[in-house]
Amino acid sequence: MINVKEYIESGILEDYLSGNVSEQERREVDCLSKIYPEIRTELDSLSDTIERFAFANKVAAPAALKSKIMAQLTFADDEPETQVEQLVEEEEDNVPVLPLNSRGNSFQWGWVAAASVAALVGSVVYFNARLDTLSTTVAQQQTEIKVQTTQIAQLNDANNQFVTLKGVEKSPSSSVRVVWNPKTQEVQLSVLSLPTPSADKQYQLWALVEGKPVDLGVFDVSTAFQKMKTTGQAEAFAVTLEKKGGNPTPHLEELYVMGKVAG
Amino acid sequence: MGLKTPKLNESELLELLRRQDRKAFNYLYDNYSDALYGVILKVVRIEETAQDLLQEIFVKIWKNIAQYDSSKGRLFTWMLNIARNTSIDYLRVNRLEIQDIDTAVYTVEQGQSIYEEINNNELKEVVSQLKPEQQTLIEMVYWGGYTHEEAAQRLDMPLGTVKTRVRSALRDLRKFFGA
Repeated sequence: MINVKEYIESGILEDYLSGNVSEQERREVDCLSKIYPEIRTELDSLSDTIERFAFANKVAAPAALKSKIMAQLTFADDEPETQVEQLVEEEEDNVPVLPLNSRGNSFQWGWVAAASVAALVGSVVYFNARLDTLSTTVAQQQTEIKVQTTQIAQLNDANNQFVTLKGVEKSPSSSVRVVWNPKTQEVQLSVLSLPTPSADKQYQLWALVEGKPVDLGVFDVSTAFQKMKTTGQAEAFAVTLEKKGGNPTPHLEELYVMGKVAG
Repeated sequence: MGLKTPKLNESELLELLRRQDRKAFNYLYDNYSDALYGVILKVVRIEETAQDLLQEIFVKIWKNIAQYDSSKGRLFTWMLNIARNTSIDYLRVNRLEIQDIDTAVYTVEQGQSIYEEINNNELKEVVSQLKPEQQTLIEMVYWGGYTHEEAAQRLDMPLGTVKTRVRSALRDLRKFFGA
């Protein structure tokens, strides 16, 4: 746990607001202010002070300036023929909406499902004719069950901390379960819900240790428990979307879920 | 603040801004332009330049409003950052000018006659409780985008002193505001 009071008193929040921080420190403040409400409140209060100071020093800008500025801007109610740029922008705006709608198209999915069922039936018939292959499959499944049983046994360890990482504003419905054993330092993760990333991206788990993000490795979207890198300390866990293979430091603007360790 | 337009809460304002609504721009400009103009004017000191920069800044605000993330801080803080960065860019490009202005403006011993232009209001009263040196530090660092090192050099103060005073100036001001 970081000492919130000491952190606030260190002056880093003032330096953050004046831009006198390194990139790493900036991310740290962004991240910690999301986790600790006291830090958020302090930051808002200091911003508010700067804002009031600016309002105390306001100077009326020449009236003609406003129309000069407005002439350079695009408005929604402008005449359409002058709006090539805006139309392009609107088209771009629409793009992210379409894939979501197309998901709701159950007709296509019906065919996909039917094709999958047909393929499955076909393969069952095929495997029936080749019992030896089938028994190999059974053996594989038994091994898998053994692995899972071991995992379940590990999950039952009394030292385990279960942390549910909840979606932040970027993806409020997302959630990830992290099981962390501070004694063995083992970290396991199971995705409850996360958007499927594009092929060149992967989610990455971070532990927050003394306010600094520590890489715990990348993972794929799967409900099965996945073993991550170990850590002996963690105040919180967070998941960001990074390039495939992960990054050395997290991109906070790609923060999806986050959760504090209890106590 | 803006009495001409009905009060909007911040999320309503943002929603309208993202839709490029003309009324929303009016609201934003009417409420914030004078505060931003005061800041820029203090930093660049030349009215014509400050007016050019204010135009540039509002165009940037308008184009980038979708990137503003209210969970990271206040709208004014975000706009002030744009104003600060735009002013810094200007000053860095016109390095010679910055030198001339500095010696004229940022001398702590010199009396602060800069506040003559301000409208009479309560905020002004509060701010006047702050030592001139503290006001200068806040203006340089929080508005003008001076690094601690630059401020130390310009004010001929040890770096550690600047760091401590920049932080305490803001805390003192907050105390005066009773926040």
